[in-house]
Amino acid sequence: MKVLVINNDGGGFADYMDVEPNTTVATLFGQVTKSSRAEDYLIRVNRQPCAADQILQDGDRISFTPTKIEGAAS
Amino acid sequence: MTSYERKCLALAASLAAEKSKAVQNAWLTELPCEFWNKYQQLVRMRARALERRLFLASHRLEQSLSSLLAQFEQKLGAIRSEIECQRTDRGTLPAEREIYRDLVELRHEFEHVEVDCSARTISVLTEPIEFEEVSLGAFRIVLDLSDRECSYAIIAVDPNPAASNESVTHPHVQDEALCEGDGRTAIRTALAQCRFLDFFHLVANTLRTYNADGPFVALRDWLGVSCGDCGATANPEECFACGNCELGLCDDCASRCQICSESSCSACIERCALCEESTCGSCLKKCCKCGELVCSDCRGSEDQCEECHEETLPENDAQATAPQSTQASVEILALRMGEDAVPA
Repeated sequence: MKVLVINNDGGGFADYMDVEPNTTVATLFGQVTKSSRAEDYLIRVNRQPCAADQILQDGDRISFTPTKIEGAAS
Repeated sequence: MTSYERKCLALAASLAAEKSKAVQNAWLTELPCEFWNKYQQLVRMRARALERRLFLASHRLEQSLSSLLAQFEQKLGAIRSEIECQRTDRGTLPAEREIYRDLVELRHEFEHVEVDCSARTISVLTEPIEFEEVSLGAFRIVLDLSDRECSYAIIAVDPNPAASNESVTHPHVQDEALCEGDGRTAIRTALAQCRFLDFFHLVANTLRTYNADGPFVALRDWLGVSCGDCGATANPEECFACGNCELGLCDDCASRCQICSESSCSACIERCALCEESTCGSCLKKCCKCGELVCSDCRGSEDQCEECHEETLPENDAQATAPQSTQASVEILALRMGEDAVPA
């Protein structure tokens, strides 16, 4: 099945991905961000807060946005 | 449908149409016709050169053709990459309904969301932000969609600017502009793809994070600089750094060197052994005779203090005065009319 994945970490890509049926949000998070700290991300499925074990559905829109982004001076 | 949702729908429709048109037209105007025209011109010139048996000119034209073709190839490659990027953009270009959903969802994620269709602005309000007990207040993020660049401003609602610079309202905001740092690419991509919910989340999360490595004004100096001697907080503009150890000092604690006027802290400032005036270490010199540290005003010679230098004077005076008296008598003798000066 196909889902839209938006990874706002680093470059911030948005693209469709093929995932296995019964893939959970936590599994996809590990595949996309390569991070083990889900608490450092704002995770939304179809723009709504979600649980880690939520099973993704075909056509879902999943976004991972880091909560700590370091600004700079110039 | 509420009034807010109607505004969101109108803005989403307008933005989706504009974005779609921009993507469709983007690469059609960039064809490298000038290379093709130049190529044809060089081919004609080479043919003429060969007809006239100008082999050297023909050879040079072939070199120009080769160079031109390499540039042409490079340009075509760049265009191909650009088209690939635009195809990806089209694939992720949000439809009108996606923009609309983003705008509607903003109200559930932020306070005081405002969509102004006539001014083409979207603004949200963050919660009050505080770092290390420094309260910076809430910030309004105003996205201006009236130009293609999609600029945005960070406006402090209840500003508590840095003591040293009133235009810095947040460690990473100066003159209402956020220095995006690590978030730059993600913020730009979100804007380019009209993902406004992500854009506002990214900007707000950058505002909620303090990076001690690169602020316009560090939090420790936000309210002023703490004096290294007395510990009082002072305005950074009225503070001095010790010329020796670089310790921050308030005006009251900064001791100025009587010679060079440089500021020093109480630990680094010294006193001249003769005049007892405050003097920095660089302006003091050890007397080679008595070993005391004296300032340049109290030195009788390059390496002696005034007192030690004076002690050596009587011997020198005796040597120095003899030729002077001779000179005086020579002058007196020379004044007499009709007589020559008689040397001693």
